[in-house]
Amino acid sequence: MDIANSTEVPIIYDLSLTGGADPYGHIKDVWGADALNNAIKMWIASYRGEAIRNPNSGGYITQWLMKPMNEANIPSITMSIKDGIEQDFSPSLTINAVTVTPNYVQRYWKIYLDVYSSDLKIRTQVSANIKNQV
Amino acid sequence: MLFDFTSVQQRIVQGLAAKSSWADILYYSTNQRLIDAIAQEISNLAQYDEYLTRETKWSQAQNTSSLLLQATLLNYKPNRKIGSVGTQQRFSTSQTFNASYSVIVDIPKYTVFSDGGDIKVSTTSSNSLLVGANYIDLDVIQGTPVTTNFVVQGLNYEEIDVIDSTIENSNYEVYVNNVLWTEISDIRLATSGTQQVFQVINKPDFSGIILKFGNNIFGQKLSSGDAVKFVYISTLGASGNILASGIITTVESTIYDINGHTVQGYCSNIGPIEGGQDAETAESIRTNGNQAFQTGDRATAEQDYVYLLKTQPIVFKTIVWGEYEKGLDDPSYTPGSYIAPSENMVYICAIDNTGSTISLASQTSIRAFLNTIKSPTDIPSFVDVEMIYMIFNITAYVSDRSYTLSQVKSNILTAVENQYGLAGMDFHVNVDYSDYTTYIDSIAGVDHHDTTATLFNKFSFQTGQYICSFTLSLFPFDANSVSIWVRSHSDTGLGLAGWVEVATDDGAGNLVSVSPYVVLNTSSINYSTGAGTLTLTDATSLPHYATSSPTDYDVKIIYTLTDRNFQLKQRWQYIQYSSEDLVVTTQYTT
Repeated sequence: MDIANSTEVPIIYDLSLTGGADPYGHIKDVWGADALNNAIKMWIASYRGEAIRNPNSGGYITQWLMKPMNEANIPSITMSIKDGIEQDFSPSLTINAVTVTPNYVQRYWKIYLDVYSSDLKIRTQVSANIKNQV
Repeated sequence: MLFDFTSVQQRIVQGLAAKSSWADILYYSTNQRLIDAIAQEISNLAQYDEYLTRETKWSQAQNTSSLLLQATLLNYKPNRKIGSVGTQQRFSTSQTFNASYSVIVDIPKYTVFSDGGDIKVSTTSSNSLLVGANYIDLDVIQGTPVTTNFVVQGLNYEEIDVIDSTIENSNYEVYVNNVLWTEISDIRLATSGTQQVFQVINKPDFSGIILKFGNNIFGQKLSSGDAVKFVYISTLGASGNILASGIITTVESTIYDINGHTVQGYCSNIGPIEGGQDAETAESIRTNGNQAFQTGDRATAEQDYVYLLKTQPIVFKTIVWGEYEKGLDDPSYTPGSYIAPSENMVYICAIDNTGSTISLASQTSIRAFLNTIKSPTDIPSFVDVEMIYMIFNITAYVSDRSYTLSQVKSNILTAVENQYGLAGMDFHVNVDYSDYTTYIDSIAGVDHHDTTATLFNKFSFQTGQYICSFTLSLFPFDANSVSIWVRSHSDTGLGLAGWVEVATDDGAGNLVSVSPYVVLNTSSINYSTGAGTLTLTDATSLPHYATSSPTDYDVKIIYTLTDRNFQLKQRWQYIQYSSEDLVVTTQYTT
């Protein structure tokens, strides 16, 4: 479906990123805002080149995980998130807020995103902790 | 229907979207990742299937292994590496090859000689250096003998793998419990269960061979514990060709006389050892396989004869013609008219890899081979080759100083050998002035050149008399261009230095003496027909005169053709350059 030219608001659907099954034994699935949330988390955790036949997508945040954690990286990661969301996502997302907070003790980055999709008419907030690798 | 990744992916999504429960998915989603992975695998599968399908097609297969596997169906057996061969590997117990030994010296099959390095040659038969003989010229093949032993299980159609990519194409032997067995093209063609035969199958990548034995119905079956010995020549193939003489000068094997005493031996190749080839390439298999299929193992058309004759190991080059071609050569021939002596005759001219007409024994063997596959009315008739030699005198000018003069000279020698050597030429192939001048001009490093080409034919004296009646192959030729040279067979190893000039022409068709030799005043040559007679009334100054007879000498008649283009007049004529007479001079342009 060509979402950009559609007059209807599409329903989006996905299988849960974390896997698992519901009480009936069905694979756990997610809909609407949860599905968008699911997709953004996948995008945050993605590495460049892992998408089949699309070597230039993803990896906007993980590229910083191999560098030492410091304050100077915060604006860089923030810029990467803004750039990546604009480059990679379809349908497009509007970023309402993005914060990147380091936890030096436990060595992870806390990433908070507030986004809105005008095509999907969905707003969602994503909060993800991602471990630094060095 | 397309099976590339994008098409498959789109079809999966479209298929799912057609279901009522379908909802859209985002690019970064678990579902999309699954669809992508499945589409990728289907696309890979389709690609692999296409690849395999292509490899099963004779005209499209890219891998040699695919063609090798299919070649059997076309009745074609591609060749492995072929070792270069020579017939003039001279051996002597004298360092100067001019003294004999007191007792007979045995030179067994597989005696090895070398250049002191990697290039080794082996004798292909057992010989003896007799008392009184100063030397013996041996038949050799490039490569070293290798023996491998196996103990077998005694299975039906037992197969033994021999992994070695250097196994020579046709020189090998199989012994079972020390009894020599015979090769057969297919084990199922064995006529009884007691026939001691084996089949050789090439491994699909030419990495070795498989020896296949019978099952007591088609050929004798091996018994458990039988000892199979496979003896073969490990060859370098094309890189083992030796074009110059005097290269193979080291005796590698220990030589004994008949009393069992070690003999100090000396050797030298006085002729080239050539004809080596690498395993067939995919394109060569593709071409030859088609020919084999078209021939169908039956000799009917002229091309069938040529192909089938070339399958015989002794035949290096061949030409075949019959009534039709004979008529074409005769300007007065009316197509379809009766040519009495040529009806049903199949004329064959075949040479071995030394350029000589194949021996009478080989002709007999080939005639027996043809009898099983030719038309009953065909009458094969062998014709001797008429070899014409070109003498190139090349002065090459080099303007690019990044080339050394020796480099350019080497380039020229190699290029001339490749193009105008025995292997590069063929029967009934003309050499035009514009062709060879253009070819030499295109050799790397050559800016421009001055090249002249003259011709010569070789003849012999009559038995018991120094008289040589001859007809030169090509004519007319220039007056005052003829010179006649003689060389003793004993001086073959001396190359050009072994020849002595005995006569020239006087411009009026008479042959005149070159001192100290004396030519009978009736000796003459006809510039228009090439016919002539040379009679030496005083040959006493010829080298080895006292110990030789007239037939121990070769006569070389050099002449300059009036036409700069060498157009052959007969189908059995073969023109090649003479490496011995080739003169190449290189110099930088000023």
